[in-house]
Amino acid sequence: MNDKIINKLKKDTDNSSYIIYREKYIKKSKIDIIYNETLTDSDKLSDFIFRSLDKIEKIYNEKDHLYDTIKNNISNIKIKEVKGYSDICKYLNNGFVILLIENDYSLALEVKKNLSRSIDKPMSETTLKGPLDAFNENIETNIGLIKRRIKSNSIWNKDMEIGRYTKTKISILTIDGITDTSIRDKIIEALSNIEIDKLTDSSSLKYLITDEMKTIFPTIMTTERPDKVCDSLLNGRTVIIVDNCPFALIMPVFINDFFISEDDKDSRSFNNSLTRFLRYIAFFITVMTPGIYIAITTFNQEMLPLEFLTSFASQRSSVPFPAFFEALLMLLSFEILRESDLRIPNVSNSALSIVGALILGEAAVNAGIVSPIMIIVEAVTAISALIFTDTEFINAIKWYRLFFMIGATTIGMFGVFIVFIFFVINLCSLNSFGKPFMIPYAPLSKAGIKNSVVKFPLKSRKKRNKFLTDNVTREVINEKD
Amino acid sequence: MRKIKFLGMFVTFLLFLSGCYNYRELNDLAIVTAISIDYDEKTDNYKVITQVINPIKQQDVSSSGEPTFINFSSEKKSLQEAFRTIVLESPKQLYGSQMQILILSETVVENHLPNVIDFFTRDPEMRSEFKIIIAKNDKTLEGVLLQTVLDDLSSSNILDSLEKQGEILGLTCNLTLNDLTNMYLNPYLEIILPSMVVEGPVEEGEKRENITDTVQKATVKIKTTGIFRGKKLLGYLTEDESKMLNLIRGDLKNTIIRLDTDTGYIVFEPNRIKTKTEADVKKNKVKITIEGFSRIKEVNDMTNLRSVKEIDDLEEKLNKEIEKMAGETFINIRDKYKTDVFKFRDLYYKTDNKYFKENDSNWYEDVYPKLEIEVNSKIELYEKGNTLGGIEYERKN
Repeated sequence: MNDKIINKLKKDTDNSSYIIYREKYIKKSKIDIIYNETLTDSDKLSDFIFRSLDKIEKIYNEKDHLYDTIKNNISNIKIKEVKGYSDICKYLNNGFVILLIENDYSLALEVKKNLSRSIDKPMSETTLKGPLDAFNENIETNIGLIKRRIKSNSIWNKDMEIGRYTKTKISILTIDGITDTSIRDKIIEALSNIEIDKLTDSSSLKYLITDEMKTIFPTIMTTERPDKVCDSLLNGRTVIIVDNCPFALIMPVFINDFFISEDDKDSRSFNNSLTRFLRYIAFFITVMTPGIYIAITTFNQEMLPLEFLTSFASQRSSVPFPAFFEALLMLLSFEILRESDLRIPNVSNSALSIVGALILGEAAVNAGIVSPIMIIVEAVTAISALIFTDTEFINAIKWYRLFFMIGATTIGMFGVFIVFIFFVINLCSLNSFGKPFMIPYAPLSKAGIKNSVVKFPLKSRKKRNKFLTDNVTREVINEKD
Repeated sequence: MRKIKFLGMFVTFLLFLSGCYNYRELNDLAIVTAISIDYDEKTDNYKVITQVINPIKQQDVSSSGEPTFINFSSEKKSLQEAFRTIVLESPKQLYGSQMQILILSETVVENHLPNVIDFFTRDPEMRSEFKIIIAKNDKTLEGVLLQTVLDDLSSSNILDSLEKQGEILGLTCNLTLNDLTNMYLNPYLEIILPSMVVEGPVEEGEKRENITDTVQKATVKIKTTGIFRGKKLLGYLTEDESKMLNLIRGDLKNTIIRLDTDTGYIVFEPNRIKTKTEADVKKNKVKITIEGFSRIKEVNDMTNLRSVKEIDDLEEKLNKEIEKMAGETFINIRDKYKTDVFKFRDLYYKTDNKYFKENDSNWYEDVYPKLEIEVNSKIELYEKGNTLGGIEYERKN
């Protein structure tokens, strides 16, 4: 019987050299030991499996059942009883060692090799103050980092496996009594109908559970910070952790969440409100400035004071292109510069910045391709976009920046207003897992508005957002809404 | 679907209701800052001078020697023709939204004002916020040609001067096209307009030397208010009359008043002035209440400013002086020019509509010549400066 299993396994894996088969006799009874050496730790294997099997041989009484003796005495904490061939394959591929003892009696013992990196600093969401640990690729470590912060039985997880080949483990985390479980049910329903080959990161999971074509704004937030995940969980949001990916998914998210940084916790409400206000201003600057500039200089010149108009006119006098094309040129070159900056290794960064500064700044003006004022407009636009950490949000803004520019070139300021109306309509019609994207502004949420443009003092923010949870009274006073 | 239809309609309406729009790059614009209009009676032609900004980098002005503005002049039967034909000289289209000042000759003001008002109000691109000023002689029409130092544009120079004097001196009124149109169309109002002259030879002032010398050879100077009855320009007021006219009309906010005393004079700076006019139609009487505060700016007198009583006396004297000046100005203007530039007719109309309609037909014959005014000045002295009394007084005591 055991030989049959081994033969089948050898056939299925094309006699893979990584799968090791060993035989061991305990007082005339043969045990087949199977493990995958790429996934298992050989130290653990020899220390805890082979050494304890040697001990077992000494105490083994032939009257007893060998399977029970091994199960009782083996010094390994994670023991699984294995039934059937498919179970054997599953455990073998997860870093277990399989002991085929007697006919139909097998055990799987965990001797996983540690293949993930250690807990590191966050790379994309750096903060000055606050915890400095970030998720890594190991789902158990990640959930551990969350459990370490929420020491409660109420943190519930629902595990699923996605991918025919990768069999990636995902864990949907909720807090019992706070989280609205309808979101979890929706996600499970969406995922159970999906049959795909692989799931190697959390980013692709985003588009499996939402309608990708519905909007250009992100309705799920990714984060690598366990503290942010805990805040979100305790405010009634649902979190998905994906194995082999250091980014957790938070849903639902609203527009205000993109304006909040983890650093805000360190700042008192009075100071922080100014920062928040600046972020909102920067948002409108980055979306609308090029459009408004084009509209004013090509249609509505009467809106400018004479001094400005004279100055703009003198700067534009040597530029041969229309203002729209000029703006597009600058936008393109900045985006190309930014993209290349992200892609190239760090060593070439300084060279790139010199080229960028020279080409975008001095040389382009001297050559008469763009006017200095356009560079200022473009620089303000670009800098303002950099305050957002979520790249998807920045990408969405880019589209609207372009729409505003097109509106401005066709009918001037009225084009800008028409696009603005569409912009607001679009934002208001959006929803993230059934919740309006414009919360806490429309519909108005009192608890949410206390942590939006103006941040109220921590002690006065005692309630959770009613759109996220029915349980609005906060047991734990918490930062994020 | 209904939503899309609604949005489509909304956008279409926006396009049509939003007025005119026109794509033009800044490079194609000749930004007009000032226009001066004259009328040649012999040839029946409008003569216009248009000041256009030369969009040159400010740091290049001195090195290249290019002027900061250019002037185009043209002569045609109608204003529109005159302005359009400027394109024959200028490579760019005239752009009038940023216009600051409109200079009109006396001929134009007297005989062709409706045409000018029509031309500027009809054009939707024109802003109606520019100031209007009369050129007291033919040479002054070329005031926009002068090279000026403190402000590169001579138009800005005139405009700023006009606005600043309104803030700190109140010599004359400053009126926009809207005000002029209103005064012209309202039958109960008479027109007043500020005036200006060019002092010095215009030919010299047009040259570059005008701004390289410390003393400018030719400059534009704001002059007193010109008053009208109907469309006819009756004349220009004296400086004091002009100031008092402003005060009675309620346009004066801040000014300087000199009070002559037995031993010298004292200069006051009344500010935050508020004028209230009330009409008693039945008694044919207008009550003018002037409230405000005043500083003492200059003392050439033996007054003891340490004593409260003297200060109270001074305050009373100042109020008396203002009351006297205002009263005299009213009598002078009424008797000399026989025109109601004080807006009293409008005030009567607003106060008692019914009674006024019965008596309006003979306003200038019966009502206005018998009109009495009662000026009540309540200016408070609140600051006498760093020195206490006059210097002479301090020396002797």
